[in-house]
Amino acid sequence: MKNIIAAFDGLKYAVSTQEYAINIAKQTNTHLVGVFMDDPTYNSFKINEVVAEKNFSLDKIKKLEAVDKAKRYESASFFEKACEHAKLEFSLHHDHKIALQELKQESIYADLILIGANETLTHYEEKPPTRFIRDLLSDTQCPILIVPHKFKAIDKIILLYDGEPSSVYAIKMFSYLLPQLKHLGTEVISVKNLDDTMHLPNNKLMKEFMKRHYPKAKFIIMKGWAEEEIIAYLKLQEENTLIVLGAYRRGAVSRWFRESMADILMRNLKLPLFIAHNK
Amino acid sequence: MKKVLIAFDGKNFSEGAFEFARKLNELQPILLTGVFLPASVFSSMWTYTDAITGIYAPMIEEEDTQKLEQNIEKFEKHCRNNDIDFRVHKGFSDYALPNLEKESIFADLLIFGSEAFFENLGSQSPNSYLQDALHSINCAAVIVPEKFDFPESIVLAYDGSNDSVFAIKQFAYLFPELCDKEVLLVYATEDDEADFPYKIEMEELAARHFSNLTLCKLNINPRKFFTAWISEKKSALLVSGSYKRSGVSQLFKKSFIKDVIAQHELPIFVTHH
Repeated sequence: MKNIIAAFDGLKYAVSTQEYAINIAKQTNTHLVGVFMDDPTYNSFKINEVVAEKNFSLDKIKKLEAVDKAKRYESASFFEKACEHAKLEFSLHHDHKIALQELKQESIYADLILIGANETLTHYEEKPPTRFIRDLLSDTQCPILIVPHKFKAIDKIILLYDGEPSSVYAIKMFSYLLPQLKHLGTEVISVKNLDDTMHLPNNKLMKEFMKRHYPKAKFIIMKGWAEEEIIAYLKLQEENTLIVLGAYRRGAVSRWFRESMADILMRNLKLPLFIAHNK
Repeated sequence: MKKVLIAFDGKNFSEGAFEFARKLNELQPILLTGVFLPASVFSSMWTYTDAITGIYAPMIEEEDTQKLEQNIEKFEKHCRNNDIDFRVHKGFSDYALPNLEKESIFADLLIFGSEAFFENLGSQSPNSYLQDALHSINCAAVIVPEKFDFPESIVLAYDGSNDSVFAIKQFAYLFPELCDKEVLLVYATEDDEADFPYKIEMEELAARHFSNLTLCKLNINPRKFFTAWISEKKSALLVSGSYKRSGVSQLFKKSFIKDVIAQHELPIFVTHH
């Protein structure tokens, strides 16, 4: 049985995260953990604005805090009811410390984390990739499934493969964690440089490996710039396609020059992304 | 279905490693890829410091090549007799380790025989070759002694580190068939007061994967006595994440897994980030 976390901001409850979590948990043998990041430094009101108001009093802050607390409680019970309705085994965690640190700690003891692409854990709206998600990805101890704002049941899998260990690691982790999704149509995508041959990198080894894990997978090889070709191809996909990719943790220096593939996908597409990295 | 690599160094054929693979195949059919590293290659990966300490480089001999062919035949015969789906990868002409590293990217598990693997490189166990191999591979590994009983129980070594939890998770993903065996989650510490680090979280995770789980805290010096304690657990398999360490820290603290390997009494599952 797998231990899968669905992470929520109780003040902005992401219904799609809940729907994805329940949909996946139903198909797999899963214990779902609802992690509510009740970060004490983050409220729905802006403390500086409240303090600057004319008739400011401490009572007013207490009242506002009570409203937030009730809201967080309401979100948690919403999740609870949804799990009960789906007849799932589940538990709830309320993390009362800094959200990012707590979630990283939770990731050590979880098999997978589901989180909405739009989570910011601040008042501000940010377009994906949000700072919170990027920070989480750079230092998580388990794979992360980033889900879009709107729920669509997954019915196709695309595995990105570039010949690097971390792309194969992501495929391994996906195969270990969600073997129940193997019946879905699966494609492996590789992009080669213009002057390369049309062979899959490490063709023989990769085929031998894939035959054991995804025997029916289709291999698609394209030529050109990886970023452009992949985005163009994925844009043609329906919204119920899940993408598996590795290699988030690149050195800071290399990230100055080239954005990570995961960032590009989050910016351009509204598809669920399964991201795992090993080194 | 899993893809399992089994590494032989050409001259030595580890019966223990093969036996482990055979048992795995009984649990669930595997693809077993025999990787035969030629006996001559390791001279090319030696550094000067090693050469100075007096290990002499064995010459490439006719006899070795013959031995390699014999081992491949033996492997093929063993596989056919036991109905194991197999492949043979050989003919690595130059560097053995980078090849093994690449093969391991595309495999779920690698099996080594702890005694037989590059045995002639030195008597000290684990020899530096095995250590280098463990550090550089990209998948989980099981190190198997020549004589062992297939595990009837599992010992999970937990020290509160990310690596130890990572190893436990990987073990659960790779061996779901062994997860209903008797499982002991051990936290070894000298400190009487110290409780399991993140006990609730760890128990929550471990209980999902292992149905027959016992938590156990050992009040002993882990480095000194763990090896002795573990050798009393007959037919167990040890799961540990503590192999990867930077060179500097390894000079100061010996990875305690090394002791367990040195005494080679149990199969050990190791993996690292």
